[in-house]
Amino acid sequence: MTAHLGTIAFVSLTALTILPAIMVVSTRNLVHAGFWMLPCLIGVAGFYALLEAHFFVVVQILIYIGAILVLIMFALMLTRDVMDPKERQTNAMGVWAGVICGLGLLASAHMLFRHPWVGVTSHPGDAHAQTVALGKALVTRYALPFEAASVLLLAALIAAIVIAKSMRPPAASVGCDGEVSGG
Amino acid sequence: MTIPNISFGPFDLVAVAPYVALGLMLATVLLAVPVLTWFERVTLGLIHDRLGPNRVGPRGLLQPIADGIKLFFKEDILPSNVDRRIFYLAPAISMMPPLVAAALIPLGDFRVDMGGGQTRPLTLVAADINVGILWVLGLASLQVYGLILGGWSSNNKYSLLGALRSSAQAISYELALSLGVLMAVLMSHSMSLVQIVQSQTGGIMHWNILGLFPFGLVAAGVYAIAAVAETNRAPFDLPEAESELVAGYQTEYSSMKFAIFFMSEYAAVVIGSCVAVVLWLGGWDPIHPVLGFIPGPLWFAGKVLLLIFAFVWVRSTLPRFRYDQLMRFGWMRLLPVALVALMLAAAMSAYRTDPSAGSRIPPKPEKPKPLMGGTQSL
Amino acid sequence: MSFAVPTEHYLLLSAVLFCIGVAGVATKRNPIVVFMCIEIMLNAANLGFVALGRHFGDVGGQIYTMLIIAVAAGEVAIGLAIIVSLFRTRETIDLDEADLLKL
Repeated sequence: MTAHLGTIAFVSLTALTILPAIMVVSTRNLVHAGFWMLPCLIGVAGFYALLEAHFFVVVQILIYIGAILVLIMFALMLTRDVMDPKERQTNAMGVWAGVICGLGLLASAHMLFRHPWVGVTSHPGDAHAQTVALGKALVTRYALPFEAASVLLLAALIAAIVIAKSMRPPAASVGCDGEVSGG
Repeated sequence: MTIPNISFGPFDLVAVAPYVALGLMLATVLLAVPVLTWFERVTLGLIHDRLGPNRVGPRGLLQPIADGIKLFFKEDILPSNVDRRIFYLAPAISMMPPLVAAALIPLGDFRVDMGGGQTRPLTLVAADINVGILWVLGLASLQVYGLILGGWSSNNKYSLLGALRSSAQAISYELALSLGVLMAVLMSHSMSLVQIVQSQTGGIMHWNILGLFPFGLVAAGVYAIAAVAETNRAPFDLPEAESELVAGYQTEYSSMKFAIFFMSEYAAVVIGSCVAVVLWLGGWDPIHPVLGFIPGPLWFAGKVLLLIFAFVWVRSTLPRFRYDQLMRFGWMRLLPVALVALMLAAAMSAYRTDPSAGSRIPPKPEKPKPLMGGTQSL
Repeated sequence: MSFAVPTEHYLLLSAVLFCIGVAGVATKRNPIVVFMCIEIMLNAANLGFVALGRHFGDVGGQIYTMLIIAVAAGEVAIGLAIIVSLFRTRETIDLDEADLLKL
């Protein structure tokens, strides 16, 4: 019974994730592409729930949906008139990208199903114990990657400030600035 | 407080409690609009030395019903060139997060008399999740999608500007909100809303707002400011600033779609106040144990009402921020204050904690623990 | 309570999601859409990591997911700052035209 429920949940979550992802890539309207990201990311959060990684369900909603996607939407709305939806949205690589992706997908599927996966799945403890284990691992065995991530975030923070600051002079002298061309 | 175990057919009180809690919270959130519009207008009238609503019904009590009927029968205008699907979806999306968050709010703590001198702890909450407060933060960050979608799909420059403002504002103040919440987690040693309240049992001196003095006060202040900003209430109501943007993101909305945006704002105010009470004001804990004969949910409701009054008070007193002031205040005042306070509070907490007592040390070892033990469902 | 969906299904799904992302990154001209496709790819990788972490009962999979989310947050902040500054100086954000490696 639970296996059935799991399969049903898996199939519906797959639809919730894959179809919006295809829409993100295929739609011509940029803001619609941003909106389609929403069900896609929620679907991935659903998969985390199915995988009993409850902490990541929250993290996915808090960080991906609540912060990253809002930022992307902000940028989309700021630049929405720059690229007309009626214009060509793709470059000349369409065919090649399709071929390479298809081949890569086939190769990875082949590798996947050659590997004997069946019967190895282990069942960790309850969700609470899992979250506690994650927290403990972050400050013991995986402390170095954790610190590296925080340094990376700090670097990103400083870099974003530097980039934003360096925009000031051209923005201030935009009237007498002749060499800035439209590309 | 011990209550008898009433049975409802085949179910006893313990089995029914989560549904009771959910029903209570949903009813509160949904009925908040009529009650709070009346409350807000009366309070505003009082503060502005005006009469306030006094035409419909005694003391204007029926005014919200008249308003509701008016909104319901107004023409539902669909402007040309709107993105129709998103235009319809946006109010619904803005209503969703507060309704989901309602399931996480714990309302009270009882002991149920199981008969034979045995009692069992029972918490009146729909879902006690061990990372509940993170869920609240996540849902709070989802609230902004309704504004963004509505503002963009309206195909109106005022609406778009409102949407842009709301997304930037939400991201800026979410950080301060999270840091404030983190300080409450630091003091209560838990992310479960129920355990956060239970760690504050024992009267006002044990509440987080006075914990790690003075950092509890600072953190509660940071949370309060960020919560007002997150709910887009005055003085942070830039996404709908009527003197600049007509009505911001909701310019093109009319009739019930407008009413649902309106409802979601009040629902967010209620949820924000509930979370503030849970985090800082001890939840259902009476102000002094002597007053413990008053049921916990009543204490909870009273504190929430007090905070909603504070929302209205702030609105009627402070002028609206300018956009650059909003950004500067958020990033250059609130965030540094919150960060420094968090570091100092963490240091203070580590200094006070006895390292020999193990990993999960109760924050206030001297407090009585009559209600602990209701935490088995993590 | 275990929902017994085999691990290889998650991995196949992750591969499909990743390929959709790759196709978007390779073909789109708008850098913000390229960003969204990169986010899809990162999500696919996260899903694979979490699924494998559960498969082997190892917390490492979740740790890497956490690090990837941190990287994604940093990446989107920098990337959007670059896009906005690109737009300010060159009045376009078309990736086909922004190929000078300088602003």
